[in-house]
Amino acid sequence: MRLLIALILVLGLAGLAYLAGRARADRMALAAAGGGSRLGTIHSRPVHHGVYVAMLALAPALLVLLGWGVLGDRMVAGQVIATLPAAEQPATPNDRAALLNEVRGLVSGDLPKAFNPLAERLAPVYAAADANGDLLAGALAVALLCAGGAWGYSRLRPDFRARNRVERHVRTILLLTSVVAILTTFGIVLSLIFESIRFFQMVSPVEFLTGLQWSPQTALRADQVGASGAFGAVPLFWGTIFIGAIIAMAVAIPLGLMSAIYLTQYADPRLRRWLKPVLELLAGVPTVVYGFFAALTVAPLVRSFAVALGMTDASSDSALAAGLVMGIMIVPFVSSMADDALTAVPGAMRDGSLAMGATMSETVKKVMVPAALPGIIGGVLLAVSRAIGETMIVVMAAGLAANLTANPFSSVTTVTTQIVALLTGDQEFDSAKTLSAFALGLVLFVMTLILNIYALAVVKKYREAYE
Amino acid sequence: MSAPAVPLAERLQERGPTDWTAPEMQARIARRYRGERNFRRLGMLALIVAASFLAFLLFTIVRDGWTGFQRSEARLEVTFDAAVLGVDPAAVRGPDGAALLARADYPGLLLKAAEQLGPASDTLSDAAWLELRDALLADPALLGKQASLWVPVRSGIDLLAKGKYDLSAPADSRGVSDEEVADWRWLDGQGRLRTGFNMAFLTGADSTEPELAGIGGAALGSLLTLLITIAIAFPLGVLSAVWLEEFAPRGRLADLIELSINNLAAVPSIIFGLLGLAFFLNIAGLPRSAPLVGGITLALMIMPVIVIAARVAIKAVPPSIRDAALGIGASPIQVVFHHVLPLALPGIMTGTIIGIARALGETAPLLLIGMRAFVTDVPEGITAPATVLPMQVFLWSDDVQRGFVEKTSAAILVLLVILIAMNSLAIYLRNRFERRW
Amino acid sequence: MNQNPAIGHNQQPKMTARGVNVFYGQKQAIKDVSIDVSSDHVTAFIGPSGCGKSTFLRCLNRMNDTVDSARVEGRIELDSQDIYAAAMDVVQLRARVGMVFQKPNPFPKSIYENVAYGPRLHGLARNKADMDAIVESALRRAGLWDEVKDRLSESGTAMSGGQQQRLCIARAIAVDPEVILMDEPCSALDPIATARIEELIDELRGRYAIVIVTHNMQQAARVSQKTAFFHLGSLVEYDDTSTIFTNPRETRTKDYITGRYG
Repeated sequence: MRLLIALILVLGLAGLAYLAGRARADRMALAAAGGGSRLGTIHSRPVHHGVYVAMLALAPALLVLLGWGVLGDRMVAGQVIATLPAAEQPATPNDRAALLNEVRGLVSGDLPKAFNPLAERLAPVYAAADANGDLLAGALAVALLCAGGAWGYSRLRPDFRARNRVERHVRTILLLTSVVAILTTFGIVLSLIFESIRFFQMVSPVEFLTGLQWSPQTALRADQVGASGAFGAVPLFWGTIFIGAIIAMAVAIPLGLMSAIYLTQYADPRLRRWLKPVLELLAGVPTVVYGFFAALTVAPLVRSFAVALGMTDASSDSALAAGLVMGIMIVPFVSSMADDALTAVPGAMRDGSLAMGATMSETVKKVMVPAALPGIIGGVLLAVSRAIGETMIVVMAAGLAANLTANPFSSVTTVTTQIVALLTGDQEFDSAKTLSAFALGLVLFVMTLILNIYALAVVKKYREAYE
Repeated sequence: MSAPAVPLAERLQERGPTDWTAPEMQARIARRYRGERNFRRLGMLALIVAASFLAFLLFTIVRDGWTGFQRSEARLEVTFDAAVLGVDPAAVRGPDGAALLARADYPGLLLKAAEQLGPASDTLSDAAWLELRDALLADPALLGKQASLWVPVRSGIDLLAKGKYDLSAPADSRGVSDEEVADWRWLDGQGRLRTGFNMAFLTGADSTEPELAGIGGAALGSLLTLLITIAIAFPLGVLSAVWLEEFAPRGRLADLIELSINNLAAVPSIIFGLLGLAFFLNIAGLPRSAPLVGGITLALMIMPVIVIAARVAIKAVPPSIRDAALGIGASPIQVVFHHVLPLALPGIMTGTIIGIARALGETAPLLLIGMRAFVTDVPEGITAPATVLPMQVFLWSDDVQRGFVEKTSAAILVLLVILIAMNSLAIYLRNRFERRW
Repeated sequence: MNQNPAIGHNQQPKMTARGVNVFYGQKQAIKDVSIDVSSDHVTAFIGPSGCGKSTFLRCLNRMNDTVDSARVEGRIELDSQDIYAAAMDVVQLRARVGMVFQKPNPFPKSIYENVAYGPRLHGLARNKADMDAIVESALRRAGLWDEVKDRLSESGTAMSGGQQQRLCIARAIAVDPEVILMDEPCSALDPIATARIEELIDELRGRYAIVIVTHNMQQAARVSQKTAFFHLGSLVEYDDTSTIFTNPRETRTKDYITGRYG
């Protein structure tokens, strides 16, 4: 709250700096005109001078406030904990976090009373340190703002190239915004790799990538059998591929491809004009909706079907239910990729075949689809990458049992299901169980990355071939 | 024929022209036409199968969900007895009267009033006393008087009233006790039951009781999260697109950025959740379950969508406009901000709306940063624990209580209506402004 | 195959068109065109671009059917059979009336498969040896055999433009059609490849009724015996090529031939 006030203050002051810079430029323009009615020539327009001054004032102040906003809490916490005598210092990071939580609760008033008497003692200290820190940061920000503004103001001259300066800074800002994409990618890669390395210090990568046993439960007693859990992820990889790349694709490829063929080659253009936006709307249905449908409606149907087939042990969270619904979800995607690929085939190719006396289906099967095949394959690979990274459907409809089975009516689990299962609920951040989620995430990231890069290259090459 | 005669070709020439009327030729053509018809039917079948599957999905959700917007209420004659409420009528008229009334013992009053329901006295919802409080706070003059109020009933009775149970099934498999059925019959027979619009569902927050649970809290959580997402992703996305299209020198940096954006656009959403957990929560120490972290995570996720759409839109602005502006002495920055961006805006908005719609429907990354908090009140700010609409759907779908099925479906309906509206707007914008040059 | 030039003029025409109108939506592209195409010579359609000559050509094997908004009125006959009649089978019609397009459009298949495509569709070969014979003879007639006989399994799209166009002609010939329609077959080719195609057309004359659309009057004069001049969707004049080019009846034809417009 105090920080918000400081931010508003800083923005207000920057506004003043803008007005001051502008006013000075206006005066310079008047002076340059030599008292005449026409404005004289100054290099940049007054607006640029104003923006220049405001920029110089605002940038350092904002940096200070941002830094304090991100780091302030920790600095205050460290300071407060340090006031405790060594004997009362919290022993573990968990204790420390719990204590600080209580202290913060007391300070904000969310917590009427703390369990830990230490917290009651620390609360006033914390409140004071926090207030001090905020005050200090605010003061520093305002001071830097004034200094920056004053310096900028003093540099204004009629021939000062304010516009060029401002524009150079704008370009820098544009560049920085673009770099965010790289930073995000690096952030993802680094956090995945960093946590995975910690995991692989506990479990060997070979066991993780080739082991057939997955049971990440942490043991209650250290001498329990399998106390360290089993982290062989092959059943997970299989489950992911079984649901996402086999069952879902067995549904999505024929339905998507045939719909695309029908829409591009046979359907009335009016129908096509209607159906395309509808398909786009369907692609926007949240996956949690499909998940709910899979769990509540499709899974019981699949189970009764299996029981009717004579399978007594049919699972209520079968691979088939999740895969079926995922396939339906992917149909609009496959259809639109196939649509693009088919429409990219030159019309001359189609005409050539029709002029030979081929029927439309012969043309499609023998000329259009073979010609569009790279594009279609690329689209299917992108669809597979989507399916294996899809989370909500499998979390809601697939099971948690890591079975290595090809029976679609039994339960399998997937990489994404396990990531969610491992990272929700109580977590100790250093346990192999929690860290294994990041190793799974790394595998998922690498798998989808390879699929995407390859698929995009295929599609791009295909488009270029017909352009 | 000038080509050298070859026995092979000559033999062929002796075959003469093809006899199209020969029966085998006719049969062959008939066969080919059959194949053509079957293929065409197959295509239509695929379309129909996919469409009917989706229609079935929508049908089940509407069927289960529309009753979620209603709730059953029982009529109760309530005497606002000051003694039962434990307030002093004189003090209520004083300056602190409202505060005093707000703290009165309404559960006690409800318990007393429920006696008139006889055998069905335990059918009222746990939070029915809130209705009594609201009635009295709205009209303090009611104190000491009797009023007829409609209060919510328990989920079991609610579902019975909506006909959600198959009462012809044997008692042990129909999912509702005989006692509840008897209570419901009694209430219904007395004419004390009605079904009304469930405003609390739209305005209220989550609850452990289905009849009290609402999506208001989650909707506000979604709104806060999306505001953060837009505030970050829109400027970042548009400005990076401007840099990439207008200023980026061809080189390794631009290639790297482009590669990053293309790949980020295809990274599974759950990976962004891992980033949020590892970086924003554990390293940066931002609060768990908060719209702030959810918003930042989703912003990083949809930024590539906005960048890609904005680049296409910027590219579509013809170079002649840039040349014209540069020709009268505008600087490149002025050209971009005065001419190119305004012209590209419809395309940029289309991409942004699609991105935001995606963020609104996203659940997986938010699961990992703990936005599955059970929050019984509307979130207080961007750092307070909150949940979002799709997460509410997920949480309710996991609940074993039968009353949550209709709530889940109803929440999905609300979510779908918002999403369809957003996507339709995007499609409309695109078609409206598509070919301008 | 009968190559007797004496049958020429008194023989019944291969294709006849009577009162043909073509509409694209509301727009009329062809106005009341009547014309006979005879088996034993090459007929050229000339005229300025947009005059409807290609549209009319596409009516002759019903390729306009693939354009949704196109509507054809009037009567077009092949050997006295109405090709727009319900009884006429469009697949069979197109096998009998082949077509070569403006831009070479070989399928992305091997050279062999490109030529074998039509015979396979229509079941013209009983076995592999038959098919080999059909492919070889079609490629020979298209004058391509010697150039490609050692690389029949290479892709048809990897050849030069002129070769691709001759491959497309071979592809059309392979089903042994009665009429070959050529829609500006040389417009995408260089002069040398064009000369080769023109030679080929001359060699094929008499075996097939050939109709060629061209915007190049020299080409029409070189390869055709009959020439039809189209203007604004109407058939202005149809006569022996020598007459059209030396002594046209209509001034519009004369103006076009002498280069006043077009």
